[in-house]
Amino acid sequence: MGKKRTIESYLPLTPALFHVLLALADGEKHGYVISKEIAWRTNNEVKLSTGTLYGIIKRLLDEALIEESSDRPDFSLDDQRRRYYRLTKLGKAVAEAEAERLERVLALARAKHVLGPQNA
Amino acid sequence: MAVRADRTASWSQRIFNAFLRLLPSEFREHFAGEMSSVFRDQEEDARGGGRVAYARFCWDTGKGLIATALREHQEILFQDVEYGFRLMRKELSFTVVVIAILGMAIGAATAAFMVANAILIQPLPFAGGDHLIHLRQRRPAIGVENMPFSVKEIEDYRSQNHTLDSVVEFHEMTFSLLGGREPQRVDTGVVSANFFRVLGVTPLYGRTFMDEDDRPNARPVLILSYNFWQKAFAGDPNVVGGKYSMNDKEHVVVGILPPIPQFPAEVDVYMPTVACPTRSGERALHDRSWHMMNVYATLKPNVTLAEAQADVNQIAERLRATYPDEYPGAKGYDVRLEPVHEELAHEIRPVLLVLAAAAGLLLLLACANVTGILMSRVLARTRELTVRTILGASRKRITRSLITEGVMLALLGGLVGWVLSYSSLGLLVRFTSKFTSLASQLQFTPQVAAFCVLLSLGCGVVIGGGPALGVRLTPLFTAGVGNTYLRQRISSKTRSILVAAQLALSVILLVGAGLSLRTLIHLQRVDAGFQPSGILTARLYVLNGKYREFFDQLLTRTRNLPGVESAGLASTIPLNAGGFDGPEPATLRGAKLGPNEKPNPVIRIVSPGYFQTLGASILQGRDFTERDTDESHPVAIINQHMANHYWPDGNALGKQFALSDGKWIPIIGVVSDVRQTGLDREPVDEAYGSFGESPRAVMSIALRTSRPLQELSQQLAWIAHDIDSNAVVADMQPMMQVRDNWLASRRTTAMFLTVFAVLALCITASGISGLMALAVGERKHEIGVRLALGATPSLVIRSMMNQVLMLTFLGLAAGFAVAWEVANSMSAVVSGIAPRDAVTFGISSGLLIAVAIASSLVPLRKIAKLDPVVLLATE
Repeated sequence: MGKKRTIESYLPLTPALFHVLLALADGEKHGYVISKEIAWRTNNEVKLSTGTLYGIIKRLLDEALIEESSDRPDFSLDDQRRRYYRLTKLGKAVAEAEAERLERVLALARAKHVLGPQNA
Repeated sequence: MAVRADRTASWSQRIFNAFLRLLPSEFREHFAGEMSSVFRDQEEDARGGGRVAYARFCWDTGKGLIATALREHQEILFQDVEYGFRLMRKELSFTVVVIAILGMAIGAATAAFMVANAILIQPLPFAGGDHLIHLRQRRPAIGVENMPFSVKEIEDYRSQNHTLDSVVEFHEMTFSLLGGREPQRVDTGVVSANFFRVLGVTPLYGRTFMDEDDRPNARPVLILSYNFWQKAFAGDPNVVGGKYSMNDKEHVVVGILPPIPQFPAEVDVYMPTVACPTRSGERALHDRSWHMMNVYATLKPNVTLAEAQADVNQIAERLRATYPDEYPGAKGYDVRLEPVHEELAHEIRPVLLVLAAAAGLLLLLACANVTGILMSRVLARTRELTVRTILGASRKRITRSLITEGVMLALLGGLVGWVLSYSSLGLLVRFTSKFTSLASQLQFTPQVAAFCVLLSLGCGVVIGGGPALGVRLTPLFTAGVGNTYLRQRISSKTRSILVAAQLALSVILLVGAGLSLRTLIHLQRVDAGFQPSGILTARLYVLNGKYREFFDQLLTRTRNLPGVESAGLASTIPLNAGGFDGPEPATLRGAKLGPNEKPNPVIRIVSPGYFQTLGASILQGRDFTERDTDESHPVAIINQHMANHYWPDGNALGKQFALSDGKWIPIIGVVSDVRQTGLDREPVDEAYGSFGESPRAVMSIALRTSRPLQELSQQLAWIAHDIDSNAVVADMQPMMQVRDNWLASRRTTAMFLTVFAVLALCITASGISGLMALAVGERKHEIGVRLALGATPSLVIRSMMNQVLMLTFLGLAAGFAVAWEVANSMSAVVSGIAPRDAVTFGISSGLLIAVAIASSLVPLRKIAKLDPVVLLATE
């Protein structure tokens, strides 16, 4: 067994990976919805193709930041091929830590007047 | 969830599913179905955004899939490599053995490729080399395959042809070069002015010959070969423009050649034809029968070899009709065109094919051996692999990891092979130079390196994939750790087959090496008809018409030298390519001839005392004497083969024969047979004429002495130049060296094949030993029961030994069947024995059986030390 990893050891996350964690922050979703939400929330700036999305999902599953959910929607609404994913406790903690890290970076940018007044 | 072919899927869906196959199988099995569904949804969205959006979606999807596939494969590879290195470190001795076996085999195969690449595959190192044609004059009716051209003939072919672009000539002479630090004998290539332009050679310094250099009364010029320039002038470029004396004339060095293999012979310097006193002499210029030049040409643009051959045939036909005395119909006459590249590779090709086949067999054997070892190791790792399966690793994943381990071992073996083949370069150049002047082209090129790497990768897939295939046959991963007996039985059978294959390959290599060694022993022991030790030989060219006086004086003075026991002259000394003695049609009196038999004895000229010097015996009659001259009646001595052939009753003495001039020549003696053209060539009919009666300007001298040959050689050269300062002394060497040079290529071929066979035997012995060690380990329980029931250890050992013998006989049978079929293709390295030599086959099988028994006894002897009680308790 390897050593237990600290939250900090996961950071920094790649933007795509962080977006996937954020997409799952408010509940379990399947792959298509995750990609759709990321595109919508970023105004189509971040669009994850199927290959990229599932590469990220596999990595998050391997690192236990997300898990597969056994809860399924009504049978009539369900597509059996779809899997639903949700954040694990670790995943939530890592997402929070990344958000805080970005907040600190943002604060630093403000303090250094890197951001213009309209962004302040 | 795997995606299956869906006939109703759209074309885009089918393409996407095809792209999914790029992903690792585990990834695919887990996510493919879901990805397919997401793709369909995303595609619907993209279609709504117009064509540009759809095109961009397709591009992003493809790019994303490929990037993910690469990342996933890379991750798996890193994991497997890391795991592989951990295993290698853990089992270091095993790792070292496997790498050594593969290294030797890959090294041998790479070395074989290196030679084949340089000699057979790569173009000639001259810009015009691949278009160069050699013109060979033949007298097919009397077996002369390469009669040099005379100046007259060169002029005819040069002026009358319509298909050849440049007809150039070359001949080799030895001259003295004065003006350097000390006088030097230099091998000189005498060439046409455009010789280097036709070859496409650009000089390193200075220039090559110009047309003006080859005109009568032109200032004599020289070009130095790179090696001679380095050796004699320490690579000083200022030598260009330097003046040196040769043949009593001042010569100016005008250029230095680059370091390329010289063609058609390695020489020290080059001169244009007008500068050569022999070539520009009256006789050479006007005598059509003064044959001494080699001729080369290039084809005109858009002319095929067949068209050029037809053109040259017409010229030959015209010459036959115009000069019937020079080209008598009885001897036949034609000219053959042969690409130079083929000619240069002609001699080494069959030997190279035998060695390459041997290296290939060794590689196969090494792969079979290592596959067996890895299979045993996979069995020893049953528990670990089962745990990996339980933790979710699929069969494909396990297979992939085993192949990666195999490839890692093979790449490390390939590294060893790389070093071995690279360090054998010098040895290979020396070996190859016995056959072809292209030997200097041997290099460890990027192609050779690529071959080594690709071969290693291929071996890795084989040795890693073999055990993986074996594992997949077993119920290991479906039934967990159960059913071990079935697993062992299947694997043991596979490993036994692999060992039998090694035995079969070993026996083929043993037979190959055996045939080659027996040939060498035969050639070393063969009675060549002469005693080479203590003989010094040299070839002498007399350039003026006084050659009879020259050679008479030379014989008298050398015979008077202290320590010289005897001396003699011959038109050709044995085992020497020089000389143009050929067979001539003869009419015999009182001979027993078969129906349609036409005697064609080879005619040679010798002086009195030559046979005694050579160590040949006069069996009947007498030797020539000083009284056998052109003023007396011509007489001849024939060899034993001719005497027995035509006068089997032993009464050849006093019989007569006539050559084309119709004069009857009485036979005054019968001499023992001498193998003139090769130790592997049976004697043919030969008739000797007296030098006194038919003197020649070019003769070889043989001196038998008890003194050191080095001292004598200096005296011989001094005497020759004292008699005639323009005489050329060439090829001065002890007869033992002539014989050793002839044997050298056969000796090295035998050495290579023997090394391959010994390696094969060692590898196979380790395979048998490993198989038996594992069998003892696997059958401990059975052995324990048998010992407990009263069987003696020797009885158990014998029963297991029977298994080894059964395998050995199986391997022997398979190997013999192949060796028997391919033995005839070994004719390039076999002589004096039959290719299917029973002794070689017998010794090879005996050796293999002995090695099989010895190598299995080591693990089997452990049985004697086993305690059945302890065995049964632990089992």
